[in-house]
Amino acid sequence: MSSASVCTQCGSNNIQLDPHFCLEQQICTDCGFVLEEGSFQNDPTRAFQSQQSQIALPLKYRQHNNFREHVSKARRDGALRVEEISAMLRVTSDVMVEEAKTLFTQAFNLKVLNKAKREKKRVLPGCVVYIVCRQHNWPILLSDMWDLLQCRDSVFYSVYKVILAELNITITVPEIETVVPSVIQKCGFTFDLSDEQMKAVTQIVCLAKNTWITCGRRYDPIIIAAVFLVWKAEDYAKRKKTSIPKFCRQIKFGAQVLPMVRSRVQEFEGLFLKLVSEIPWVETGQIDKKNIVCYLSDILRYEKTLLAGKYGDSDLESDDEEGELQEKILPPSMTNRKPKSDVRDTDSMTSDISVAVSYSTELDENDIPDSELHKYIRSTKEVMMVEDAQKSAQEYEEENPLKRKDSSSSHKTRKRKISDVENTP
Amino acid sequence: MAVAAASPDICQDLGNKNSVPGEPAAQEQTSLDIDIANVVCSFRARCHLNLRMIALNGANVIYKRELGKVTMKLRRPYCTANIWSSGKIVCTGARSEDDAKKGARRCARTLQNMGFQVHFSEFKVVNVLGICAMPFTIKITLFSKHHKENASYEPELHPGVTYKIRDPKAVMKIFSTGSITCTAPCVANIQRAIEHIYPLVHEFRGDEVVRGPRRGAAGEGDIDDSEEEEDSEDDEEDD
Repeated sequence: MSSASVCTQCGSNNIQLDPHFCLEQQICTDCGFVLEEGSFQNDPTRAFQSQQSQIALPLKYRQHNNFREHVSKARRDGALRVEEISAMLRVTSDVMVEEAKTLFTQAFNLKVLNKAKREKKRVLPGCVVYIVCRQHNWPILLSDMWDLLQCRDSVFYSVYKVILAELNITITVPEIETVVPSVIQKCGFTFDLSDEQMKAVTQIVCLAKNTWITCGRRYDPIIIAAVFLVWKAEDYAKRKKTSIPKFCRQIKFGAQVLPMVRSRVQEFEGLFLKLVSEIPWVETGQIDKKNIVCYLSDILRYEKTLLAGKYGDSDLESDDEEGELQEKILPPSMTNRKPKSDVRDTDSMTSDISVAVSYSTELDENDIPDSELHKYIRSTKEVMMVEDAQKSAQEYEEENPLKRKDSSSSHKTRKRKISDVENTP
Repeated sequence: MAVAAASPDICQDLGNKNSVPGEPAAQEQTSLDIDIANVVCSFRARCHLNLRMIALNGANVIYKRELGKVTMKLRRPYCTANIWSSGKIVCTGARSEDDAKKGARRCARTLQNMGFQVHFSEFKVVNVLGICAMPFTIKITLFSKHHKENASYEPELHPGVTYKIRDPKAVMKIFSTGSITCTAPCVANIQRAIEHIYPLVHEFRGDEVVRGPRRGAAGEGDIDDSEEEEDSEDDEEDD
């Protein structure tokens, strides 16, 4: 349809296209004259199309034959998800986002992840962003990614391991000192920590690193425990009665980490008690786990000397094994020894050393003496008793639902009576 | 079953490494006990098994219909057999390869006495778990940094370092307490794997530790690895 620029009646240039009942009309806005009326024949959008594009081919055919460069939904959404996660983590660098996108396409093309479940493919953008952040030395932890993506730790770690193995990437775990500020910010404490307090928390965390407390443990509970001790030490008189659960209630994920924080605090208190005994001007008789926090500043100030003293003492020979364990600073699980009994270790369960192992495919009496068979196979009487018991159990279940209904209705009436009593003024 | 691990060559090398220059070389030889904690084996009965009949006629059996298997507990040797209707049977809990074979044959003979045409075939030891305790603590953080190609350490997931070897095929978990658990297809591989890892781990040793026997008469255990996994489990304690 050719568009006229000038109205033939009044000569004005104000011509508008009006979609009047699906037919476009050219109308002059000054005089209202209809210049041209569209028709179905002239409409370019309704031109005859080739047969190929009219037939919708099945999705699988398009996917396998790369029909019109088909991009799967997972790949497209995954690329968008990489950007979203980068935005959530406040990754402002475009270079990092581009790196994450290229890594995502590489990871998505891996054969191992080709037939992976949807749950794993959803986690893939998060893994990729985490790897790029760690390559740029960001103090980010795996647990941060689980919380962000709301996924299971095992699923995330399985995909993460596959990417590292297939693409030959090595990622180092961040040091705990670098992670302290970000964890404190994540917890969202109701109080602010001063510079001195932050320094004290970092010192406690470094001390934990040198004394096996951080070995093999999650970082969050250790840092929260350190903050608790520093906060308590600041105003001991007022805060000595504050319990750990009460302190953890102000943290968003406090309930999950509470048991771990509690055990870390106990380990810290045990460690401080060991170190404070090395300080010459302190009388150890009055000190216990509750008031050890008051001596925190001294312990942190002379930390190196106290540790050197502790490790120096451990070189001396001591006959008493228990005493040696208490004096040395060892991994915490070694000091909490619990004797574990195994059913397999009792004398009656030991195997027959006299009977040699047979290597033939045919089984004979040596494999199990007939005298012991009654322990493994029921006699005919016992089998009949079991069958009778099963039948009676089935009959009881059929009868039982009726009886259960009666009891529940009587229970409800009783409840109503109590409520009536309560409601009466 | 305990296996004395360290070969004389390694003992001599360690003796030389332990010696401080200027002091007389240590003459003591160290020997490590490897405790085989579990052997998993599988075999085929070469016939179809009616699980319902086994559940009815068997004395020490548990029938799990939703999983489609029957669990049979054996007494001597103390092990557990999982039986599927296809005739495949997996036997776990034995303390040695011989015990595993005896337990498997015992299970097969029991099924034969129930009336099935069982032939004991394709017996194979699938997996062996060995536990070895080093006489020193190990600095696993430093160890994992120096062995990045074979070791993976994620403290948030697992308290130990996972170290994989290809030549004697084995996977080892190294803990800071000095305890090492090794899973491999056979006992010989476990021995070779422990001999392989000892010098690597010795480099990052911490304090010396004297340990008692891992299992006493009453079954008192020494350091158990399940204690070290307290962080990887969700503890639900009351306030």
